[in-house]
Amino acid sequence: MTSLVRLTHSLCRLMVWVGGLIVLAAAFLIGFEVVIRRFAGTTIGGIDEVSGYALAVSSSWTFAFALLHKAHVRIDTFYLLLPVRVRPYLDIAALGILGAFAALVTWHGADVFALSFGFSARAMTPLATPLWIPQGLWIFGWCVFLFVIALLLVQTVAAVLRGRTDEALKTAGLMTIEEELDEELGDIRRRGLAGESNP
Amino acid sequence: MIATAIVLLLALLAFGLPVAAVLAALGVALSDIYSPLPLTRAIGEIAWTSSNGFLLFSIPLFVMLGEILLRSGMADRMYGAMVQWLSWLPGGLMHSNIGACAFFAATCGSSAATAATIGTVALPQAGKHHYNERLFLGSLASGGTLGILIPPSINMIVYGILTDTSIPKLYLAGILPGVVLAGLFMLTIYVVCRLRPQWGGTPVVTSWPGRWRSLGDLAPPLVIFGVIIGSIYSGMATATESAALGVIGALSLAGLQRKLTVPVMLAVFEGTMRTTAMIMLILVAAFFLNFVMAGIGLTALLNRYITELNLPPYALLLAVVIFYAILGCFMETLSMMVTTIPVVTPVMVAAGFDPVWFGIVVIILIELALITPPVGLNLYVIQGIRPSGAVYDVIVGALPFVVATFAMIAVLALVPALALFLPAISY
Repeated sequence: MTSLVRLTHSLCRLMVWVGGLIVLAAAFLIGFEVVIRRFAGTTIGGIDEVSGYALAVSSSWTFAFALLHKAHVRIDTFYLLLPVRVRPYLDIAALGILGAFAALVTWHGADVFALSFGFSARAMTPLATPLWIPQGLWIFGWCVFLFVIALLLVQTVAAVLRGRTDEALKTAGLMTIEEELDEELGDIRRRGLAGESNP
Repeated sequence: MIATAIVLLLALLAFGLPVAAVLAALGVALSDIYSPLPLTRAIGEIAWTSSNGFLLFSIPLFVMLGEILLRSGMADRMYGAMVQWLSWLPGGLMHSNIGACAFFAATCGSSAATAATIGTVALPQAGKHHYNERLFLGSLASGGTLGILIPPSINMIVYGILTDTSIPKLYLAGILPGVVLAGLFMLTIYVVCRLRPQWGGTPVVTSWPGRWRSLGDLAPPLVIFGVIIGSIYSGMATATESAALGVIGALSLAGLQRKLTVPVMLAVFEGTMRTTAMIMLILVAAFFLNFVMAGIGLTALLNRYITELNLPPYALLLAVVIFYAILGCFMETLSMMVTTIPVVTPVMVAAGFDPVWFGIVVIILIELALITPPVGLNLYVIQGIRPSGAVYDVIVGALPFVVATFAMIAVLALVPALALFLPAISY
């Protein structure tokens, strides 16, 4: 189980790096397009379409990573008023409803992909992209997301059954302010603190 | 129907369930209860079409731009320049905080990133010069909110996409209110420090030669602002393309400062994509919910209901401001935008308000939400930079600026031209 979890974390991190690289590459492509359009009066063409695919794929590939880092927004106003022992049950419900949502999108999204694949559908653009390629990569991200939700659900339920509230909260609990700031500010925060301690 | 929707939404959100999943679940429930057609089946198609738009691609680009600037070292020297130019006023460095935030906001589309960047540079100065710590913290949390009002702005893009409003027009409309709000923040500091001179800290030594020398440090943010805004208004680039140019500009800047290493880039990727995924998941669900709401006629019903109340426009505006001010205390801002804007904006436009002007009002209300407890992201961002102390200090320190933000909305209601003048002369 532990090695499966570690493997999943590594896979998700790798997918995020690929996603970031895709976004950066698209940024350069767009920049290049703007420059040659302005100064050479010509265009590469289809950059907007490709960037759209880049967004769809890079974001779906990151959903799972964002979940592992507790980045998907949950509202904590009432959650924090509840006793700590009760919170894991809400976390399980949260993963459950997120799983249902992801399953619904993955199920119907797979239909979209299957239809494009079956009919060899192409985008109605000059590029005439075979749609199953970006859609396939996109739906793969949703599948990984669904898998990670299931994994966290199993972990959290197991922790609750063993009476380990702390473990359950660490896996699926709402981000504490401390964790949130580490995610939000990361190295800049550490830098600020370091600067304060040795003036 | 309206009551069912609202009760369901609030109940599910209150239990700390993920916002995206709640929006989708609400969509499924409304479709099951009220629609003769299985609208839910469209969720696959909606998820695909809504997540591959070119306009939306500007979101990861602006997030990435902010992530790079955060690490570029640009803010340190820019803050130094602001100290030279603004710290002679009563309230000293707190004016530099606001000025630096306004400048940084002109390159960055996020309020949290603005507060974090300037806060990190400025905070060590508070103790050194004996400022009233609370007010100093408040000036940073509030100054940071300018990040989304002065273009570029991720929240304006979200508003533009949800309401089909021109993003270049929204950008132009944000400039003057951004400057005025920065001015109101500085006025607040001035008035408070006139009443309580001991809060204003000890003066920092500045000189005219130092001032002239520091002007060069203001160039990098101005260049990035120029690239983003200039490329749009010269007709060279669209909103998304200008964001790509901004990313390239920021990378060059960070490269010149020798801050670009592989670990930095990987951290940039992770930060960018985490925020993007969070936004996109909510947007996908919100698009589905909006599709269902339009499909079962809920949007039209709500619209008619409010129109039949026959409120005078300014009473309606007041109601909307109060609504957002209260909601903003408890809700995270993106969730608040996607759940309310598709419903509220058509009502306001039907009442005769300009969608661009109302967009700016919404952005200022979002800024308010960022500094009002218990849920106000910027308060926690600034608290996170402090080595010690209670978040209560930041909350109290931000209160005078909450008043200034309300004043800004009043100004905008009395002088709509403040927002609409620049778009009008450019189009």
